[in-house]
Amino acid sequence: MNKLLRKFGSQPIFYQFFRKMKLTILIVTVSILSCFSAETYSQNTKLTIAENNSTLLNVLKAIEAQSEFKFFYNEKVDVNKEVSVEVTQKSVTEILDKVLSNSSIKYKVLGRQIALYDKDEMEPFIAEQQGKKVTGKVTDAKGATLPGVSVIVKGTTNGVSTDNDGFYSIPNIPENATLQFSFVGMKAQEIFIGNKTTINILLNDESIGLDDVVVVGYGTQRKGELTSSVSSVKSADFIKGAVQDAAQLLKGKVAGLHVIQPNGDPTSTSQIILRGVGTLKSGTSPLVIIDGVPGDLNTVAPEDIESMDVVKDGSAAAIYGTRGNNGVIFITTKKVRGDMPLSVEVSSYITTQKIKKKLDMMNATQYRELVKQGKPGAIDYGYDTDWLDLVTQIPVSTVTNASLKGGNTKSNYIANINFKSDEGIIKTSDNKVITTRLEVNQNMWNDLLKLNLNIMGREQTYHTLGEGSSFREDIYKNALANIPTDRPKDDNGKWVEHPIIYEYMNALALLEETIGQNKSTQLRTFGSATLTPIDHFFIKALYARTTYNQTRGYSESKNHISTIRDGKNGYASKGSNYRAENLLEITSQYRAQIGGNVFTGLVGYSYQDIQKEDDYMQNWDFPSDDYTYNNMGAGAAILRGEAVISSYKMKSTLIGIFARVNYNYKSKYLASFSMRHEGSSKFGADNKWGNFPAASLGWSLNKEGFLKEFKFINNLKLRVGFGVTGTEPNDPYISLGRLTSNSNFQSSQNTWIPTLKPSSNANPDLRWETKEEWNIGVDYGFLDNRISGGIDYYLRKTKDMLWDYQVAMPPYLYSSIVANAGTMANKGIEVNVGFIPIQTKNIQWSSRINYSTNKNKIVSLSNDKFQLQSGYIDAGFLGSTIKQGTHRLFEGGEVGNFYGFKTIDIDSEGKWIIEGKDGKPKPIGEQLPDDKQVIGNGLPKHFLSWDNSITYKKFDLNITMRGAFDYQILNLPRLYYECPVNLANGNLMATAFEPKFGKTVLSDQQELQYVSYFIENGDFWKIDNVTIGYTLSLKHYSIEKLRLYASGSNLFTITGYSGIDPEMNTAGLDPGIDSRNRYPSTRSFTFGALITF
Amino acid sequence: MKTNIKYIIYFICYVSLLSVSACSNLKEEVFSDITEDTYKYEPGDANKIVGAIYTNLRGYLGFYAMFAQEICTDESVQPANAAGWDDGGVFRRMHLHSWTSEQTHVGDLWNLHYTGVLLANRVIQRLQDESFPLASTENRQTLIAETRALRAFHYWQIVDNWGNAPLVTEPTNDLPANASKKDIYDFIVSELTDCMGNLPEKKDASNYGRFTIWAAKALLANVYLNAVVYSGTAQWEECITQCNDILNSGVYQLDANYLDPFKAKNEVSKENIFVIPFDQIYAKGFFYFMATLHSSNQKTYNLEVSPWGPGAFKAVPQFINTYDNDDQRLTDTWLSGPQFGADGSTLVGAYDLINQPLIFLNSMPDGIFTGEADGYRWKKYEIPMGSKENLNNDYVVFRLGQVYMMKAECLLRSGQADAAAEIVTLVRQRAFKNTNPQKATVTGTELQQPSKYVYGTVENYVLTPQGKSYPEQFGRFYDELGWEFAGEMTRRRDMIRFGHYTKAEWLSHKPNGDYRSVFPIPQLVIDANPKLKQNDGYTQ
Repeated sequence: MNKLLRKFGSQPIFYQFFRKMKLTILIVTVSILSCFSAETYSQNTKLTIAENNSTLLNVLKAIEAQSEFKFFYNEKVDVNKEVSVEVTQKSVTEILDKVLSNSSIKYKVLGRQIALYDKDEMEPFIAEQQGKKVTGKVTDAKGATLPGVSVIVKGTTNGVSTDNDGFYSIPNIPENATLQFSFVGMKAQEIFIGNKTTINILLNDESIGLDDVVVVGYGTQRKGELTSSVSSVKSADFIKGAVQDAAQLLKGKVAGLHVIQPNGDPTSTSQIILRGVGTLKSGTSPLVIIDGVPGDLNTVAPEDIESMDVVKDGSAAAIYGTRGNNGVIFITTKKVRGDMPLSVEVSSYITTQKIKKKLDMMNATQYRELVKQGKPGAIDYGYDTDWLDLVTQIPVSTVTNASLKGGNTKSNYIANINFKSDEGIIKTSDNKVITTRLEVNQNMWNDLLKLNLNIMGREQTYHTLGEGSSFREDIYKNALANIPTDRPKDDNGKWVEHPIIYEYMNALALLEETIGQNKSTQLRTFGSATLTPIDHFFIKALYARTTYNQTRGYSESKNHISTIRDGKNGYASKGSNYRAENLLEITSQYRAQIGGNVFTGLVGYSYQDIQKEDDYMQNWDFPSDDYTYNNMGAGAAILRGEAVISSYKMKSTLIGIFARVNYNYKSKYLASFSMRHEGSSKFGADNKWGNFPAASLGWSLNKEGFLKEFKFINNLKLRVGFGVTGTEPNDPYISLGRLTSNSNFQSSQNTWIPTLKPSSNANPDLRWETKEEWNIGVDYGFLDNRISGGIDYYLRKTKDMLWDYQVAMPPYLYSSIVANAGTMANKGIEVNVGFIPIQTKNIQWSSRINYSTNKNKIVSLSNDKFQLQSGYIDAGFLGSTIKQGTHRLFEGGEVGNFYGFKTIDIDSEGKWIIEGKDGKPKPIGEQLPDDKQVIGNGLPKHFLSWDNSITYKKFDLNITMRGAFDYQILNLPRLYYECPVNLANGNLMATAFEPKFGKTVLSDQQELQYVSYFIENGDFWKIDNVTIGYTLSLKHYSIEKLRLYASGSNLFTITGYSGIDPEMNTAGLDPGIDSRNRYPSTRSFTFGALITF
Repeated sequence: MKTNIKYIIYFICYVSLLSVSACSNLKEEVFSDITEDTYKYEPGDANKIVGAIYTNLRGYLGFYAMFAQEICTDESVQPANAAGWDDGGVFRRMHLHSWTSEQTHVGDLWNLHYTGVLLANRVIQRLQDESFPLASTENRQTLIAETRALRAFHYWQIVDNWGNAPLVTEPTNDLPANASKKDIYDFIVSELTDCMGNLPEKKDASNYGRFTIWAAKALLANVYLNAVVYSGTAQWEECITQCNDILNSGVYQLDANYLDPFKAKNEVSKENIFVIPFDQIYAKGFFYFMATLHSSNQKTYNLEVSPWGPGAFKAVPQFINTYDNDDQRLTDTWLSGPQFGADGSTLVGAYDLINQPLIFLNSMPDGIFTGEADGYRWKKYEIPMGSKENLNNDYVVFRLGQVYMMKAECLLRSGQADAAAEIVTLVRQRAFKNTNPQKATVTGTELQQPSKYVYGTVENYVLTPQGKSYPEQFGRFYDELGWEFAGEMTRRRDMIRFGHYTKAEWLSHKPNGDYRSVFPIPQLVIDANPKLKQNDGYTQ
């Protein structure tokens, strides 16, 4: 009986609905519902058909063409059977009775749907049987009841649909029968009845359903009709456990999207790379659209998200023109759909963390050995201190989220409030966030007008250990470098400091003699009005305003090193930041259907302005520490003219006009064309506007006749797309000639006046950086979609890249200018395979593997306007005592190349031997800049993730594993702490005196060098997230659903990398540097509960 | 349905209104910046515009630019040290004369001087076409003359450091080619000669730190002194003429004490002709001691900041050995011996001599890697007790002592050794006045004797003499220049003029090619301008 239905015409939603259902179910449904359904349409609709010596097929087509009837049948029905009919103004039943007389084909009418079936095949099942009665209730994963779920006895046509409260009742069930539950967008389930009479069941979302609606620019599309690469992740599939922001919900879930948390700072946000590094100046972060409004990933509570849709390819992102270069992530918050009684959901979790790994620094005993050996710089102060232990804590973090929703299709609301209180493993580091959201929907004028109003608020507070920043990097660096034989405080309770050692500070004192706090509030108010004057047409106006206010305060006491070493006598600073965004968007869409041709046309206008302000003041020499940063005027430094005050304000505007046409023919041939004409105030007067076109095509092969024999193919679609997107620089005034008045000039003795000179090389020719992207993909689903997924190949080319290009001085006043030049290419493959290895009554295991690879190439760093003759750009910079760039981008190379000296050996004195330019060994002391070579690359080339979800009865288990391969890491802790010369600056790693290259210990006089010896392979495979949960219903206590879970993140790593965590900063042009200042990454453990009332 | 249509019309009208009001204006709105298009110049602004060129000059004391003129010579060195500091060997390469076109020092120097030139070109044009109004106290011709002299100063540095380099004299966006050494030299001479008449002759507060006629003459004298290097033709007479003009003007006098021109309040110096004014608040950037002192020396001066590590800018021991023990300039210029705090406490080491008494010794294992106590430290400019990171002292570019010595050198080279000796004696007097005044006197014969400098390389504290005395002529006069001007950014020029910059050995330095008497044009500049030719010998 597992035969697919075929059909004519196309009314997508119904079609998809029924296509999912097996014929038996349809007929059962038809039989049941036909009782109540008004038969008026079938009786009132009069048709005129003249089909002589034609086929049944043609008759059915003719009926469909004249009416809203749709036919469904399986292959037992011979539609090519010859028939003749000529009727005028007859009802459909009259026509069918006539055509099907003397035939085994029978029909059933349900509203506008008509099922044809073969009498011999179906009648036995329709016949009534005797047996017992089973009742129960169907709910979804969130505990909401599901009306309209098909429940049938396997192998029969005996079945029902659940009622409005999700209840069902089936009589006449034979012994040893199995019930089949199915519903659109849900995974079908089979339950063996046995001797049960009550079966309550929970249906899970089926994320691979072609009916799923995915969010695309300015609208939604059914997955089956997509012509570009869009990955949709529903909340049920999100990473569970402690997450810092929304991006981490997607870790390992989407091929080609790489989410990295570069450190363990509780205020840090994720880094995201989508399809490699596509731009030099504007970063790699995708555009994030939250409910239609651009925003930041961390402004929405992860618990309040219903789904996230990741638009990867340029043809789909191009509708966002300038901001779509790095792809688009759409976040849809939780919504009310249909009628919904009041529902309250509360979730809460508690997390603790542990440092991922401690570096092997010497303890006091090991260090004392060096003192005995008389190593220069080693000293025994007579104590035994574990400095890292002193600055770290066992952190406890909690998150509580409560949501309230209800209403009906005309009027509904949702309110969400989220409290987040995080602590980091470094003492004092924390993050407290309250996020609230209120959404109200109201239809009026007979559903002609839909109003939507949203208010989102966010308040964040965290302590700052550094000025303006949550973490002062010196703390961790010094906790490693502080001498283990020393002690934090002397007998008088004073901090022990050694200001004569360069950059050496008491780590604990840094932490305890600092008071600082950053506070911010964000308010986003937006609303839309949608007018639908006629069917399939709407005009929507959306206005959004987002404001952000931050105040920062920071102070250092008189016991801080800033006084002990730098004579500040108490230091404080205060600053504030303001940002306001206005967005107005007007869109209009019309959908037309002509036969099998469906057109959807969209036009729109978008206006956005962004204003930023910032101010900062500092002061020192305070009469008392008690003021901290709250009485800035009390310090003396400002009176002496020593302290600094600064502020700025800037504004930019972005205006776009856009249009898009989607076309499909019977959902088989699909096409989409779009164009955005966009202008930015940031470019030169003649270059403000740019055009961003896109086109994409799709072909659903499985709908073709030649594939109909292959019944295991559920979905097979080819896609090809091309799109142009752009990037604008951050600074809005680069194209203007600006004057600076920063430095003072002594005009006559002791009269100092500000001077005026150009502040940069202005570039009036500044124009859009554009990216052209080709994407070819295939979506597939086999064996009842138990195997499904997609494969994409992309080729992206970024042109007119914005960068601070080196120019000749003279004639230019400054040696660099922000200009457009150069071309960069990225190409790659993304593969995702979802499969369901086990699907039985009690156990369901679904699994997904995502693989992606990307190859970056800097094609050129010049164009007609700018020739970068050197052909390279240096990036990354090692500060203290090394002062060299770490990375070099050159034509023909790739982003992320480490560029330094290749160590090949060590000499008998313990000094490095490097490979010279000529390939021959040479002592490091004779190094020349051009001996440097590419010694690695910090960007992973291959990413693999394996995501598993297993449910066993009421238990569920999620395991996400991730890996990145083929890249290198510059291990800076080793570079500094594994060189004996650095003993003069503090503690070293225990491995510092191990022979290098297995030969000689590094000389006490080998100064610090940036060499390949400290570059390691970063390849890793992580068991990143494991969550085990248990769900139960406690109806007696008015609890719809209770779920308890435990989760661990960043649990276990297989890697050859010797540092703390091989998962590294990948942002910017200097990826792969493991800084010795990095807030150490952690392993976290979470316990949580979710209750639905 | 009628009502609906009305509503629809309302809605559409409202939406249209919204889009019209947002419109499509993309003109920049500027708030915290000044733009050239909108700024309205007012009387008095000329000072702000010209002043910007002078403030750029503070970069002369930039960390790299300053030491570029010193650590490549036989006088000082900046070796890696016990703190592990090496900065990728850039300082070592200055000592070894193995710098490349990517050398930081060279790039910084280039940027400093061409920024001055380009700003000056712009300002001269604007002054000439009267694009901004002047205050009643200002004179257009004086401002133009002053700016041309300042530009000539930069071109002097350019011809001295690179020889063949672009000669750009007005605002342009065209890529320039190299001009020859001779062309640049001629330009400097004609510019200075031409503008001299419009420069102020009176020395007063209004032109402190700016180009007066005397500053221009001191500059021109310097250019003539080195004319043989720049143009191939000596100009001893012309140099003497310029020096005499200054000496005879009576505007300047030698200060009573050798260190007077370098005091924190050196604006009262009678000797200084042209200075770059610094101020701890308004004009930051003079903090040389951060690189020369040991971090322990914070206590010597009760500094508000801790100098960087063990200090790196050090005297080459072979140079220190040339000083006469009674010459006060030795202890005036260099910090040596046991180090004490202001309270008399003994200072200790922090690195290879951790917690051991810190004693600066005139010895070094080599010029590559030294301990924290190795080498004397330069301290010519007064560091007042309790200084902050930035000093108030004004940096001296030209002083009367220099004018005397230029004249003396020209006389010596013109065969008037005794006349030269008289001048040298005059300059030496204050250096011996408290120790052994007789020693101040030198004779013409003495000035022509060989240098006391023992050239040769040092390895493991052991000097292997080169067996040859440099410079080949007027060795003793060369020594006099070293003692008088140590650390005043003249040594490289002097060595080149005396002819042994690329021949002598000192510390770890060995000759590495005559072409190194000029620096390479920075690689980034060569790369960005295909019209430019790299200096001979530099392959990159």
